[in-house]
Amino acid sequence: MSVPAGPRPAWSDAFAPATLPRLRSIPLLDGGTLTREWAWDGSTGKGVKVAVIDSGIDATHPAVGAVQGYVAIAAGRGDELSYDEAPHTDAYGHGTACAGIIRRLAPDCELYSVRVLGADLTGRGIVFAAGLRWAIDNGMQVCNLSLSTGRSDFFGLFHELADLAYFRNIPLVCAANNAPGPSYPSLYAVVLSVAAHEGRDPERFDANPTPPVEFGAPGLDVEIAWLNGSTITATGNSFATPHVAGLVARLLGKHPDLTVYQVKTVLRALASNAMEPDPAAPPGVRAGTNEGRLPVG
Amino acid sequence: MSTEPPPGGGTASRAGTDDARFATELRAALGLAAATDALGASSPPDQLLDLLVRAAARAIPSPEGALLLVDTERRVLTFDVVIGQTAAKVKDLVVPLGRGIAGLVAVSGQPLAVANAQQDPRHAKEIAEKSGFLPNTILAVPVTAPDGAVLGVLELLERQGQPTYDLRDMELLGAFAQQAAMVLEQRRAHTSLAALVGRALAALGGLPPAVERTIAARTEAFAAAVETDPAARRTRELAELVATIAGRGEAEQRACVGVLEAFAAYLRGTPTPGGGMDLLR
Repeated sequence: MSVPAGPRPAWSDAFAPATLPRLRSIPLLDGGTLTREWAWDGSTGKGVKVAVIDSGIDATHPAVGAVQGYVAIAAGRGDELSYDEAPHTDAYGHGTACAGIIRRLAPDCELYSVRVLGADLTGRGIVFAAGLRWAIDNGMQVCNLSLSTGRSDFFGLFHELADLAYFRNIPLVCAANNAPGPSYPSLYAVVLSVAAHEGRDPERFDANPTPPVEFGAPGLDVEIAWLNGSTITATGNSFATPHVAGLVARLLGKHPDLTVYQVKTVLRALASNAMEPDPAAPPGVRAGTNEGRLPVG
Repeated sequence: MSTEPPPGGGTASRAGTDDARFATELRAALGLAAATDALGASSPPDQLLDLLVRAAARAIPSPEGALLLVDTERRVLTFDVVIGQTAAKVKDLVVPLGRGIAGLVAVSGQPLAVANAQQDPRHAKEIAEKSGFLPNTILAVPVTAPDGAVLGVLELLERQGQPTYDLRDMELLGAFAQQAAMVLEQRRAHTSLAALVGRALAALGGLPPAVERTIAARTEAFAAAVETDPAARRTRELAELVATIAGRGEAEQRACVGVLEAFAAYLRGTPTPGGGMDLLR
């Protein structure tokens, strides 16, 4: 019996023995080999495309280095969008700061500046969403979003984009907002939401057993790249987020076929509060290793 | 009287007792605030916003503070309230949305604190040249309407008592910004005092028992410290602020909810019990 031509719900085809590919598993349960060494040792994030959806990136800043691609998005009076792929700079320093942190952790990743923050609040949510869509449609492998919107009318649009990113296997690393109330896309389950913790080690991050905010990374008094080649000290979830994005870039540099939820699983298993022994635990628990178990919240 | 909270890990009945005591104290505090009626004259929104900025600058010790509002037509931030020595000099300045810490916070919707701010060539120089004041530290948080629109930015300068603004400062100023947003939005909203109190109490309900115990303990300590702590004067000033807001009509009552909710939000965000006067330090 022949299969009728034309569009049809063919989801089952993907699971046919002839077409179902073999997958590499992550060594989560096979004797405790899921370690930070496995995850990203030796990886510099080489070749991984990281979009910084922000205020632009200043490629002349010594902490940033080369920027591999640009797009500046703006909305006109009627909300029509314009896309300018010429090199641009950073109006505020914020995107440069995020890029510098990512570069510090993943020095050989490819940075793409998706500039969506301008001098206007009109169309802000639309431009932000357009930047995210550009990143999804242009082969980005990690997106850093140190910005958010609380506009409830954008809930659906950002949810759709977050799902699209998931299906394209692109982790969205999003700054949580300290203020109560909605914050998109950071509150969606599919993104990696990040808040600042007080740690100083750039590779030290924690997993939160009570989401929505899933990860904590350095964001207090962080030395960051800023305007005109300067460096300032700053505090905010905005700067915690690129720490996680940088580690994800390194992880994907070594394990490019991980899915978004595998990335989350690895990060949770390797979080400092999962890896490091509980100070109250009995002696003999090894530090710096994961016993191959998911941490119990 | 000790300001130490009761030890954690109490039983459910202990938690219930604490909760009941907390609710009683909250009602008493509301009554006291209304009876105090300290400031006498009516408090239009401008005055409320001024009081909010001053209260924030006391709670997070800072000599300078400002509430800036977004002018979407002109693409600038204007100074709505300014306190401190530079107030007269900067009141009429406008800050382009396209630059500076305040502009960044408005467009990104994310709170931000910076130190070594004088090294930020665009923020510090332009404003500082006009104000004659070069801040070392800046904390700025968005003032966001309930529908998510950014209405403005609440900013403090020059943290006293510690080198930089920290994450707790950021969270607390965010709570004040939430109050400011409610005052700014008050003309759109109408509610009764009963609904207000109910909402404030409801906002404090539904929390994990441990958190409720912490809130109860800290509120108890807070109340005790009002009588004994040298900072009692500042505490009363905050109570007067509540009274001023709560006693002036529906719109002001709505703002009063903001005060209570912000306090609750602050307590919720405080992971370990400590001295109840932290809010005022």
